[in-house]
Amino acid sequence: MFKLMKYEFRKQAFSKLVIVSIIAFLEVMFVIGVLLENENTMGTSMVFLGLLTFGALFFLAFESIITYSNDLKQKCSYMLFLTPNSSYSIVGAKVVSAAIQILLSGVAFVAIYALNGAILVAKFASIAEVKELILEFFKAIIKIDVDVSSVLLVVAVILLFWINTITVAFFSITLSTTFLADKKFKGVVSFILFFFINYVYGKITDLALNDRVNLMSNTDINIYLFLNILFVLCFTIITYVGTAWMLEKKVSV
Amino acid sequence: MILQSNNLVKKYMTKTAVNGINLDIEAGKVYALLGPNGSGKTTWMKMAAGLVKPTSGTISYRGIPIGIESKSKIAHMSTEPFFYSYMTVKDVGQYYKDFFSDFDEKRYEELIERMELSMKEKAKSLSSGMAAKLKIAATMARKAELYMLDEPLNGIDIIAREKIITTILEVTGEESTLIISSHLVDELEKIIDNAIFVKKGTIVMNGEAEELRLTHGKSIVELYKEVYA
Repeated sequence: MFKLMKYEFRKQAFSKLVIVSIIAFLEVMFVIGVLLENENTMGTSMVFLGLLTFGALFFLAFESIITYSNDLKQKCSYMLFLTPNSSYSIVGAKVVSAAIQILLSGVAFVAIYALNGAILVAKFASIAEVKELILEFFKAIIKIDVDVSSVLLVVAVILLFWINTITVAFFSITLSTTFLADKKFKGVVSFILFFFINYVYGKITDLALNDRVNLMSNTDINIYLFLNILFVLCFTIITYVGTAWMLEKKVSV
Repeated sequence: MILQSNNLVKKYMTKTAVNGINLDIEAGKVYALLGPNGSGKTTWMKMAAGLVKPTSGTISYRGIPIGIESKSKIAHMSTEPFFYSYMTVKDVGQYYKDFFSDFDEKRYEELIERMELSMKEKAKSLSSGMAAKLKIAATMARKAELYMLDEPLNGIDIIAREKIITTILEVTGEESTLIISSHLVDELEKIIDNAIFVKKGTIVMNGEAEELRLTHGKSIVELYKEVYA
């Protein structure tokens, strides 16, 4: 599976190179702005960095889905499906490498913002005061009603939700490929299926979890988050196994 | 039997590509899978390679249904170019080395040299003839039990064809089995042990090449013209 992952990363390497190049350019622009104390340059670079963060995370989320779709409709799919690997390994490698990419990208962007923040604090004394205020604010919040386990659970829910989006997309694409093979409107059907499956899942979780939230009346938010994780995890496993099964038994490339 | 196809059918919506093919492939022989474009040769080969799933019927490699085990023993070369666009000739070799335990790196290097290719060249920038040579080099660098080459001479000029066929036969060991699909019968006539004629998804003639020649009093090329005229 590691070899499969290696080639998943390789296939998507070009986009990462473009993102890193733009970040490097914006960072240089930011540092120049700080050194020259030019607010316009600093502001512009920060605004574009913010837009890039949003755009890049969005793009990374969907690049793995686009790659999977291409792997099923282009002739280079032979490279993948001729190898002696089970479809469970193939889909698993795609999901894991996508999760690693989004996690690493998230960490990288946090690190960049932290670095920029540190540069600003080091350069401008007034910003250090703002920083202190922000830290005090967070300390107050943490003391009131946010504990570390809740924060970790929220992060886990977000990550799992994102992985689930990928497996549902894989499932939708594979399902439409199973029945529609090379038909041109296959992509539209995959899209509709994706929203329909997510709608059904949303309804199920609403019915199963919302009552619990009311009953708990916010006394134990961790249980609610944990149940959410459990639901998303089950849904992810179902869509992952379904995708791999269809690839193994039904899909022709 | 190394490969057995029993009543194999593949349907695409309303079109039937393969219509009940029964075929036994013996080890150590060279087979020609003959027929014009659209006769079902490629679809049958793709089912044997595990790329296309049959609608009905079975296909097995040494008694085991086509799957992970068969993919590690069968070297299939598709007629279409299939390398990733970012790959160089060297990358292709590395990819095969990573996934196929029977891949012989040294043999790959030799074949690349013989095909007058360079390791640094990008697969997507190769001409169709050179791309075909790269596919052959990558496939034949595997020490597989069964080689299935789909239209290996497509895009290759008439002068290079003989050289390619000689290379393929040299590389394939005595114990290995070779199935070559083609509509270029002239080039295959001299080298094959068996000929399989496919028409409209079914086998219309199948047997040992020499026996077919004696029975019908015609060469394989003449038989091809008779069957598909």
